[in-house]
Order: sequence, then structure tokens, then C-alpha cells
Amino acid sequence: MESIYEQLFTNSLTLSLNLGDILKIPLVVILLANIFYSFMLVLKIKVLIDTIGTRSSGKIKKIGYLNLGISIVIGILATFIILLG
Amino acid sequence: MDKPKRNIPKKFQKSKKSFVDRVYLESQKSSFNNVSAFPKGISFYGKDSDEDIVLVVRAHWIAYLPDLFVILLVLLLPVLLLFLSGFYPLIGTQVLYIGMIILSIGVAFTLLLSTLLKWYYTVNIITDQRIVVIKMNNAFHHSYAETQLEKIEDMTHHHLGFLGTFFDVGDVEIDTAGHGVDFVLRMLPRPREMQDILNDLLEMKQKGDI
Repeated sequence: MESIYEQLFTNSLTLSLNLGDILKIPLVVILLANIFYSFMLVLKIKVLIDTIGTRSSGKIKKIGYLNLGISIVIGILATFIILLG
Repeated sequence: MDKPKRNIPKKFQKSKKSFVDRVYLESQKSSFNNVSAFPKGISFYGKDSDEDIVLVVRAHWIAYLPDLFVILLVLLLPVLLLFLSGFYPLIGTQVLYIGMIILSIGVAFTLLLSTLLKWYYTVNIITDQRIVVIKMNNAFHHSYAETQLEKIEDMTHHHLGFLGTFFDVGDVEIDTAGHGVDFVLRMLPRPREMQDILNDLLEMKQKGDI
């Protein structure tokens, strides 16, 4: 009985700080920012193709969309891993 | 050695052969296709139907070194943290840093595309009528400026520090009527040749050869 009583009042509070947990929120923000920036790049490509027309315009447009797709897929994957981690 | 096929516009076929040769020579000397002489298949907003593009010049690759350095840092930092997390559990689990590596690949790919677009769409177009300077800074900002050749009053070029001297890179400043320098063609390869070509073009324009 006394040992239980001692445990209750001696080791009552231990403060633990994990940098990993603190990092999770900014990482998810960076992830969303990356998707947003990729989307903005697609829009910027559309405007710039109107400004300068070249033979590679079509290819650049495709690369822009590909980047947006990759950003979304990586975003979903990374969110799960970061939240699990 | 075979000479590359030349697409000389009609206006320039009667002009001084040395000018056309020099323009083509600049194009051949350039790395990464930074300088294109009399390019076909390029148009820009507001181009007249009888207007011929003489040169398309992009900035030297060293202008993008800071961007490439940032991309490298984005890729390496999570790997370093993953390595450290094995020794210091306080900085988080290894699973978190594996997620961070995947995220960094995505961010690096976006930054690389942004840099590629900056290189491709930051372009100086010199035609027989005007100079067009298009600059893309990032996904949120780009600018388009142009001036007629007749309005150019003065031109200056200067090399940029150690790297500028090492790689022969510099700015060409173009002064038009009014106060101060109006146009700066930044980080051009061999700026003195660019200035010389522009001067010759102005001379031909003033004489009415083109």
C-alpha cells in the first residue's frame, strides 16, 4: 500500500519533448504549399505560352501538368507517412 | 566542316555578310542553346507579320546556380536528418524522415521545373524593329518590356564579378530617351559581342538597310 502511495506522489510528472511531433505540422503546410505552387506554375505556363509561342510549348504544358500530378500523388503519400511517423 | 542550314530572312540577305556571319557565330558558340540566330517557329505577343527575329538570347546557366543549390539542399537536408535520427531519438522517428524525403523529392521536382521555366521564359528577343525583354521570376510574377530600335540612345555592357569574368558573362544596359537606364539584358553570355551586334543592327536600321 505504501509503495503505491509513493509511486503516486513521486514520479507524477515527466516532461517529454519530441522534435518530430513539432515538425509534422510545418511539413504538412509545406506539402500543401507545394501543390498550390505546382498549380500556379500550370497557370503561369498557360499565360507564358500566350506571350511567347515556341515549338516546345506543348511539351512544356505537359510537363507542367505532370508536375502537378506528381505533387498531388507525393502529397498524399507523404501525408500518410508523416502522420504515421 | 559542314555549315549548319541557315534561315536568313529576305531583309537580311542583302545586308552585310559579316553581320549575318557574326550572328550565326554567336549562336554556334553558345552552350545549352542560349543564343539562337534567326530562329524559326518562335513568335511573341504583338509581333508584326513582316517583323523578323534576329536573335533570341537567354541568360547564362550560372544565373541559375543559386536555384540549383537550393534544390540540392532540399534533397540533402532530409537525408541528413534521417541519418541523425538514428543516433538522436529526440529529433523524431525514422518513419517521419522517410516521409520528409518523399516530400523533398516532390518539392525539388517543382523547384527544378520552376527553374527550368525561369530559364526558358526569361528571354531577350531582338528583332529588326525592337527589343523585347520577357522575364519570369516565379509562378506569381513575370514581366514583358519592349522598346523600338529607333528609341535606343546608348548601350553599355559590364562583366559581373569573379564568375562573370570566369564564364564571360555580363549585363547589357540599354538607355532609351528619358532618365536613366531603361533596359537591362541580364547575365548574357559574351556581352560585348551582343552589344556589338545590337550596334550594327541599329546602324543598319538608321541607314534604312532593313
